[in-house]
Amino acid sequence: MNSRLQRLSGSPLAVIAGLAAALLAVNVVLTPGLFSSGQLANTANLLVPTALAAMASVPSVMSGRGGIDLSIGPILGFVNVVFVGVLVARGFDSGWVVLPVCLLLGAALGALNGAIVAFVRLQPVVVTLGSYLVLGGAAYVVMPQPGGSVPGWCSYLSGAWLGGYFPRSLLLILAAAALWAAARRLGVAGLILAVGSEDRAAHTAGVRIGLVRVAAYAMGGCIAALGGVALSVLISSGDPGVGRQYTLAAIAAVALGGNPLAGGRGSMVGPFLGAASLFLIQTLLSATHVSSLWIQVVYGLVLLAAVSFNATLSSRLAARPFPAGTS
Amino acid sequence: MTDRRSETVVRALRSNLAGGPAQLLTLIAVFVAGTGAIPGFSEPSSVRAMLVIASFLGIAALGQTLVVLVGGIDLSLPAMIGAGNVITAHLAGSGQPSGVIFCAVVAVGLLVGTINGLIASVWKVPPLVVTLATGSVVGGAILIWTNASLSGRAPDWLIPFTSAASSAGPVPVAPVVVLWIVLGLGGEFLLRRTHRGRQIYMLGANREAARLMLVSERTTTTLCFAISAVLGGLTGLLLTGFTGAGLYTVGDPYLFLTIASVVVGGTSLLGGRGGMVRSILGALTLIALTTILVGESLSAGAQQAVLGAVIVAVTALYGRERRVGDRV
Amino acid sequence: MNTEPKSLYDPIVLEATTGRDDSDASTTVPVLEAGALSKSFGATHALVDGTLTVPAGHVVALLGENGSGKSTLVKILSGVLRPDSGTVLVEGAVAKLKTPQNALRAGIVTVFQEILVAPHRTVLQNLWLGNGPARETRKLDCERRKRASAVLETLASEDIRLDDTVERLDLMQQQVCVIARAMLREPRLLILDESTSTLDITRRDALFASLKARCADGMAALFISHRMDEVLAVADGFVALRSGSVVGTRSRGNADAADLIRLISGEVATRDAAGHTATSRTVSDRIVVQARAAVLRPGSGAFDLSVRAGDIVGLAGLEGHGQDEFLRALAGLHRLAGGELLAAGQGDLAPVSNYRRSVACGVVYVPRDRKVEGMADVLPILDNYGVPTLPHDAVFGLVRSGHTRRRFRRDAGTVNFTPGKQQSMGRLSGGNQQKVIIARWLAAQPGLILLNDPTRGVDLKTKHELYDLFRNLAAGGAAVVMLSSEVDELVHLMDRVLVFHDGSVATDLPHDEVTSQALVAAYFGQRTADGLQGTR
Repeated sequence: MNSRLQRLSGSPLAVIAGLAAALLAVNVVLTPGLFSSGQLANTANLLVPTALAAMASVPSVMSGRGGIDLSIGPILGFVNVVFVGVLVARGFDSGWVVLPVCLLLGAALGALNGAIVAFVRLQPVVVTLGSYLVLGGAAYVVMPQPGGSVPGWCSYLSGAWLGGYFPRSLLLILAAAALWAAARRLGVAGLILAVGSEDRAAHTAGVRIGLVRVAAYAMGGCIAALGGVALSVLISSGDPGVGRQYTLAAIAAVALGGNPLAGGRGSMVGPFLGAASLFLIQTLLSATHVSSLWIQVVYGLVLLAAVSFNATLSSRLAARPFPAGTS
Repeated sequence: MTDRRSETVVRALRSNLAGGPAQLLTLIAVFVAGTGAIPGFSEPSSVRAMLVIASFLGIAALGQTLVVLVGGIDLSLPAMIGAGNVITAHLAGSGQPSGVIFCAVVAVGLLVGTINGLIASVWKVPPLVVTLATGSVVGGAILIWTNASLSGRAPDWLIPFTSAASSAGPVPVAPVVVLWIVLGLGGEFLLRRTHRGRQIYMLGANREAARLMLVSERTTTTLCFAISAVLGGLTGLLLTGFTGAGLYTVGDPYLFLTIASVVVGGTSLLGGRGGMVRSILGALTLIALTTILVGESLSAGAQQAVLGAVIVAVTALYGRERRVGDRV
Repeated sequence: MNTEPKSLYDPIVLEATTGRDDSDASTTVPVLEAGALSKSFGATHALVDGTLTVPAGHVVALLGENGSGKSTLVKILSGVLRPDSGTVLVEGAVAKLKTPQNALRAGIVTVFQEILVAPHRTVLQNLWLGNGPARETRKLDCERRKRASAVLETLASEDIRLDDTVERLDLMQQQVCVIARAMLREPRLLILDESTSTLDITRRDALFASLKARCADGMAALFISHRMDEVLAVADGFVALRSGSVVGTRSRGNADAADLIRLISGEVATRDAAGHTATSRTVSDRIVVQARAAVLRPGSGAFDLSVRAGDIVGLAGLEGHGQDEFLRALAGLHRLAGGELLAAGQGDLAPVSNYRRSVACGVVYVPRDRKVEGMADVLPILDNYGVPTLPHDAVFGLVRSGHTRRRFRRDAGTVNFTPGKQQSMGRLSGGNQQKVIIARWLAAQPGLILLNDPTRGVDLKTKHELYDLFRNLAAGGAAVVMLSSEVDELVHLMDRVLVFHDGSVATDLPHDEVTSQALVAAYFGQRTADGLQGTR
């Protein structure tokens, strides 16, 4: 256990956790208003879609072969317009209908990506670039103009419990976390990591690596669908143009969270903290009255610093000599 | 038995498709389809307009091609296009001569590209992440500089240079198109006929073997990223003639369109295979296809959706990876 | 000793003269019966007639040189490759081995030559990868830990901690993990494809003991190893493959090392005198390689040696005993742990500093793994030939391709390669690929040529062409230092063989003393083993 702790302290996860904690502390001191009982829910609502987009990118990246999923953002947007522009517009506004349909839609879209990657054997970047364009475009077909409205339970989700200190939109994050926990318990997460770590080892050990990859992308799609719901909660309407911007934010959050793009390892927590850090940087900048225009520059610099730091960290880990042999 | 024979046929077809003529045939097919489907599609004026639009995409795609050839991807291109655009408009607005503008754009491109290439090759950070980050920095810097507003103006000479109605001397197309073709053919020539050009292919095709063949990964990678960023800046400069002023978001559509041109042209994202001329054909194909979709009065969304599907389908013809079983 | 390898197939079952009691095996159905398996890759026939029977309770050794079809047979049996024709029966029933899952379900578990682990996962996760339900419960975890520990214990590797990630283990421990993973599956047939190469004596003996114990319970094993002593120690039967066909079988009682080596290599006399032209070369006094108290890795012994121009020097030894490091160190690709290494290409002896400098001085290196380090198979042959030397053809930075082509024709002629029309490197046969890679470096006018197992996976005819080429190069005044894993090659081609053991040169055999027996003895750190000398 002790050695495990020791290893953690030098890991990318520790780096991002430290960064997020520091940012949070500074934020709380400088802008207590954002974290007050009245504002906390709004603050959280802004964060949740990005955080879910980041978490949605995790499984496909873990599954290896450069499995970056560029279509995560468009899936968010597509789920948003299907929710508002199709389901609600046709009168299906019960959460018991909407949520399952959205989650299934997201999972199906992800599974399609995964199937093309695994069985047609195309590079993930090409496949998900294609579906980025297809879904980004299809969102406009489904709903040419922003508009519509969300059912009442969405505004309920945008509120908070515990006297304003537990934003209900966090439930969506918890749902994603539960999904991942279930995947871990069922062993799917382990298989995804094993396939990403060395697919030849998994293949020869009898793992159906194609199906595992499909499962990874499907899970990503499912979490992205939760992000789509969160997006609907945030903007209280449907907007075909808003989803795609989440793709790059998600990649940034994953890289910042210390999950290597080569796959095989990583966590769900890291990218979540990465997304939170990016968000907290934004609130910090606006709190200190730095022009909002600086946000992008700071984002980029933080990302560069973090990935370069992680790269040197991992090369130092690799350079560490093997434990002495017993021969 | 028939299974194996059909597999041979498919493989032969695929290797032919991956070669040059298939891209040309695709382009011709799209063009013929457009002529049939849309009245006035092959009118000289319409073709000239398409060529101008294709040239902006195409010049940026030439840079993307180089980066893809060494096995990377350049996500900082849109920011560089925006930077080129804004710098040009600003400097022209304050009365600077064209030479200064040009040098400024090239200098910024070299700086950004060199940073991209060095971080990617020295620290082995995936180019995707590096260029995402530097793109964000450059994009943000322009935002700050221009205060997120339309600003400056285009240099006077640039408007006829990029106008579909103008012609480059005896050639009845806009000078920007000629520039694009010259850059593309020149690039292809250099890739084929210089030592560094062949090193680029070798590095993209097999990094380890390239090292043993005395290819410097750092220099070669950095060179490709630098040229890519410079071409991005140049695209932005030329786009000023189109936009008339500096607009920081002008590069945004080019992020994935440049990658799409490269992929549709038949350059493999795995690196080491492809070339400049292919990307010219890829860009032309994409623009012709878009024009048809517009002519069929498809909405912007539907156009994009069709485009996405086409990219995946085309790549499936040649860009497949090896089976796991073959790698054990 | 009595059987000539003319009968293609003697089922081992019928040979009752083995060391163990076969009364059970002859009455029960064999665990594995493979019939006439064949597999071609394009024009090369990797496996022509894979026919093999493994009775329950037996360890059958599969013997053969590199490229004899062993790996292909193993891959077919493990469901990684599909055969073009042939059948596999497992315990009498036809087994369809289309995927690894099929093979595993049929009870065929393979430990591949390459150590296939998921490096980022823990030992425990690797041991149970793909085995049993994937879900993680405490009860399952508990039981898995217990059984994993038990298996590791039988392999004398209690020191491997189940919660460490595999990437933190050394190579031997990773190898143990892969073997343990196979053991945990309770195989009917266990295939060990050169899985002992990184094990030390303790682990190896533990593995053999465990193998014997399991075989006593009815398991069967197919064992592949290049170490003759291991094979003789553990196997009950022997099957030899050559050029993709089974060329003979032996049982424990009627086999000895010399006989088996003869069977594998397919020659009656151990030396082909006509093929050797060492005496016709004038060996100059120019020293081109000199090692002074060189230490290859921390802890290994220091050694001195020198090599003269005009010599063909073989580097040999069991896998991983330092010959590879030495060759790479000469090329400037591996840093010595101590001492000094000097090399000379065209000029005077100079300390080896880095790869680029070495090439500039006329020291060239042909790497071992063509696909990974040697070439880019998607690029044209001309690129694979010319990239390092293109500046020779350039005027004002522009390469004159006609010039390159002319150069290529010249160097291709030297290596006896006939260029067809411009085609990609991947389309060539392994032998021709190797010729192009060697031609690439001839263009650099080398004085010292370092070859890392250049005939691996190369067909026989090309092999002999390459041998002639190496002799010509040496006759032309260059020195050839060549790592080889083939005993035959070492015996026939080399003027001198340096045998590595435990990271340093253990034996320096001059041409006259190079015999397969002497080599094998030297592999194990003995100068000459008793009774193994004089078969020349």
